[in-house]
Amino acid sequence: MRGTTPRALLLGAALLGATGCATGEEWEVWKSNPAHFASGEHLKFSMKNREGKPAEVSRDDVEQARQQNWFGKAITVRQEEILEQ
Amino acid sequence: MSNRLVVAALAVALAGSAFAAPPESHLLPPDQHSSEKARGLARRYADALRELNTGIYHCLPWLVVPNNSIGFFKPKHLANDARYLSLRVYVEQDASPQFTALEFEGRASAMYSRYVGEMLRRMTRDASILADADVDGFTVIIGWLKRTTQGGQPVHETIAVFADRATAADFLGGRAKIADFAGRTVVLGYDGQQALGPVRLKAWEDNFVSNFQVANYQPAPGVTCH
Repeated sequence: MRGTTPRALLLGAALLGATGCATGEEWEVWKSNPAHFASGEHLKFSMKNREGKPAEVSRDDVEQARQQNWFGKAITVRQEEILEQ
Repeated sequence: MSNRLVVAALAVALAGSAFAAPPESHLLPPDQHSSEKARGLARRYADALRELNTGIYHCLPWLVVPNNSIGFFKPKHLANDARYLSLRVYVEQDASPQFTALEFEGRASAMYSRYVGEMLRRMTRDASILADADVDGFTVIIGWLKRTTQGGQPVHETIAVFADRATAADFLGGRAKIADFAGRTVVLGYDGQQALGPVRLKAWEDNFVSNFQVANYQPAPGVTCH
């Protein structure tokens, strides 16, 4: 699991790609974790960090990307199967 | 990368009143617990549960806490009104080939090692929770995305880890190593919705959560993670 990388990290990596100011180490992270833009909205989010400004990923950005539901609703165990209220 | 985020320990500091609070819906409201004992615990430790929620939301943003996932639940496999402080998280990650190549037990062991101890420490930052005789134990439920899909739909693998209070206290007090602790906890596995039953896992020290930093992540103003 050494290569574990959250989608938020991918967002950050995508931003680095957009700004063109990534360090070599950061490019390595990006190259090893390819991802696609989920939607036009995500692309827009990436683009807003251009123009030479340092890339930043806020908690709201993470949430926005998550809500785009990249991989669809997952099949998972219902909590009621494990715990009772 | 100037915005370093250190998540070994967490303190959320409020700067004024402006603060991006995580959704309260992550917490099971006190009045939705089904016993007076549980409702009392949920009211007594409301601030601690809110802080737990806030800390994960801002400082471990790759973890998703679903609605009604923090509370004093009763593990279904236990009798009476045993109340465990419970937390459920999904780990959003791109798994490495090495991770996905493991058997379920291997992946579960890795996730256990990485998250269970850290979550327990966060759940007991208010030391009175660990000392409260009404708290019978702790549950940590961890889910992650499986590599394969089912009918085109993504699938989660899940482990539910149950530790009674004495077992948790031994681990948190340094009297039991994570490997010994894992042997004393009950772990139930799930592949999607399918119960796999009790699983025996190995666990080892893993400081990923302490050291990992999301590239360029900037915590909300007023939030400090350290």
